[in-house]
Amino acid sequence: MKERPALAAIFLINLVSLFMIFIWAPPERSLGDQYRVFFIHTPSAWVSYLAFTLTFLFSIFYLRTRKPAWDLYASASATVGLLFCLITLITGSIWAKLAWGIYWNWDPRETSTLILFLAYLAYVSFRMSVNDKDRRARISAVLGILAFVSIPLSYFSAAFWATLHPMPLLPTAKLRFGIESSMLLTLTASTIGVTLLFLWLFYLTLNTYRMAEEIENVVLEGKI
Amino acid sequence: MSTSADEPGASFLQEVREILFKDLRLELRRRYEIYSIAIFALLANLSFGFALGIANPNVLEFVPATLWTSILFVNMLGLTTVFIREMDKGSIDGLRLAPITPQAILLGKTAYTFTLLGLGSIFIVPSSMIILNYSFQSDPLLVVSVLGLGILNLAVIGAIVSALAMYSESKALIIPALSLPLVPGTLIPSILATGKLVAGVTIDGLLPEIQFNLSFLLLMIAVLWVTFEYVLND
Amino acid sequence: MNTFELLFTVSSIFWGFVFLYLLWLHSKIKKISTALKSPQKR
Repeated sequence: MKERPALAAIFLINLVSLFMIFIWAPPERSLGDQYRVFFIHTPSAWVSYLAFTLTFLFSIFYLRTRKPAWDLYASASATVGLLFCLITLITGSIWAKLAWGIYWNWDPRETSTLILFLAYLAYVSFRMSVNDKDRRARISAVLGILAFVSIPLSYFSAAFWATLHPMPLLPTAKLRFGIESSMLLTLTASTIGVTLLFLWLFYLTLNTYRMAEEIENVVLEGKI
Repeated sequence: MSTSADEPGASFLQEVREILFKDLRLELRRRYEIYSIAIFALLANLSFGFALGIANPNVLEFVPATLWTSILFVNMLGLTTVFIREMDKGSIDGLRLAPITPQAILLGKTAYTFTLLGLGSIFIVPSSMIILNYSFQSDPLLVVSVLGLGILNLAVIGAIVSALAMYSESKALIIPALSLPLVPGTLIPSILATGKLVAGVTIDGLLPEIQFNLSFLLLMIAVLWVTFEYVLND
Repeated sequence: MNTFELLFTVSSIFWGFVFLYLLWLHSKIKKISTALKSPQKR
């Protein structure tokens, strides 16, 4: 199976990056060793943003071309993005608890990631509540666009609110990166690993959705 | 009103007006929505009064939040039926076939929601001021315009959420889920602005909040302008 | 919680969720292939 080498590569890269995260990267000056969570939390966040941007783009392509494939891509991307968004939120709050004593800060970035999560949760639940295939694809596409647009609006509102209400800084604000190239390297390795993981999960999810769609089609045509 | 085949802008506004008046006429016949909004306003403000302790000296801190929570809930609980009831009654096909552009339908429904929310606020705001014992120290016209802008944004959200939800099997459950991501972008500026309005402020002090709400409005309308026909037409 | 415990927890959360997701996908695929094999039972 030609997927084997790709799979092996993905796991190898992630293994190497885990090593770098735990052992190779040096301890940070002000945060000690705790900061290493950053190397798992941040790539997850980036990947979830990537996933939802993809959903946004695929939604636009669907509306313009009406090819069902784009709807499947949008849906698969949203599902996997939801997974990584959940990971981001949980790892972020654990880190916040440890570094700052509280699980949730209402920091603008945290808050808009939470809203991102809720938006795509709405996207996924909406899809589950519509039975007609064409309607589901069409309305989800509009929802995918709306959800994406709502994120910057929420982020800037939350950021503005933060300027009027003082709040403790997130641990990331204290990290200094330009200094240690090994940290940058670790971050790069981890990001590559997580992104490859995302692409692989996206591919698997897409195939699963395709299979499910095939069944629906076959049933509808009365062949079974 | 003259026929305006050579004035496309005017006929668009006419279409919006027609939708608005159609729904208003329906509402005037039965008045179920406006009565329940009035009762809800009283109930919400009483609940907030009891919860915060009516003689609470810090009540001013909470006033903006309670005000907008009441308005938001009126919107979500009551007014997201604008499209759903068309679907339930079967008149959605009439809307689709009518020679009215989809954008006009959306704006008409938004205008209707805005009118009802505005009328509702006429109950909500004064009863809040009486029960929680505060008043707006700023110029009344400013208060009305700033609150009005916030309400308009919520009306836009209510209209599009209603249109999306009408296709769902679980309408009641999906409405909060769909509204939730859209609301913070406008609710936060509105709440901040209201706090300043209660304390007393001129328009200069409100410029950021007004800009936020205006950007929200323009961005939402721009996106919906392009995408709404896909929502409306099957 | 010392650093090792923290990192262990966070990595297990990450990989744990990924694993759970794969399990979920797997069960979905299973459901589909049973539907394929025994159409009357659907």
